[in-house]
Amino acid sequence: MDKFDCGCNNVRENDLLCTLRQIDFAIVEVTLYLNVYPDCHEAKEYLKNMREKRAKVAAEYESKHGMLTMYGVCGESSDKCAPWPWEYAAN
Amino acid sequence: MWIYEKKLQYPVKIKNPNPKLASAMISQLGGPDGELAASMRYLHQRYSMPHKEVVSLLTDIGTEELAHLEMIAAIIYQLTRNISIDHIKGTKFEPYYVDHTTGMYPIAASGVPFDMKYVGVKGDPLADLAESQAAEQKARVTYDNLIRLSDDPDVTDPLRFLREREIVHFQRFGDAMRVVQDKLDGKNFYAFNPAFDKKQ
Repeated sequence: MDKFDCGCNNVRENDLLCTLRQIDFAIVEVTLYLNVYPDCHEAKEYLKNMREKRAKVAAEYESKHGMLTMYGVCGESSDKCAPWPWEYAAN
Repeated sequence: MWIYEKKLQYPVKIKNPNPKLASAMISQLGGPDGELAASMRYLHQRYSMPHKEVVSLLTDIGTEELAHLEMIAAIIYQLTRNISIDHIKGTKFEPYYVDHTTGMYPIAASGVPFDMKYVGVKGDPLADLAESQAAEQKARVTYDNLIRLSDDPDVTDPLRFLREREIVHFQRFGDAMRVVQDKLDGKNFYAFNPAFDKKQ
């Protein structure tokens, strides 16, 4: 995972969104693999590990930039509310 | 059901608007091998798929395609933001502007609006997975073509990510094809359709 280029060109190493994207990419990739190789022990352990990391990073991101999903109130007027993902400033 | 997550799968940050380039990129929104067609194909193929591994794969790849649809929309949105009429006049973007201003309308680069005719759902696992594998390759070729056209590294970077995903999906669909074949009659894969016929 360390060498994955999340597109941030390493300029924002401490960026929570960048870290979250890296973890989520790892989760997507290993999930697709496990769909067709469901008995791979190594992949299952990797997924478990990544899910634990994901929970911590997502909680920190949401506390600073508002909720990622509909299971929370963002409040468009709040300073904590991140811009919509397709905006230049969001990336 | 689906849950929306308020982030792009991979960042899109384009400094310079370029409506001409946007009119090429839009094919991956509403074109024959675009991300809308991809998501619709997999998310509808899964109902008649008899094996749970392959249903999971179609669900997860179909969902990832929706994330790619949003990335392509972000590319087009940023390439057409804050543009004046002078940026548009005489470019390939002009006819689109007449019909849709700078709204997001799924259409091919050739000007044909999105059509479900691009999507194959045959209700037979071998036919549907062969369709899906071909679709990934066609989408990969479209990204190759777009990367050749792009003269902006801010656009090329997310295109390279998306191109790579097509290759990974092609590989996984190949694995799924093997899962299906392993469960068929080894002497004749076409002896029955496991999505329809009662297994003998």
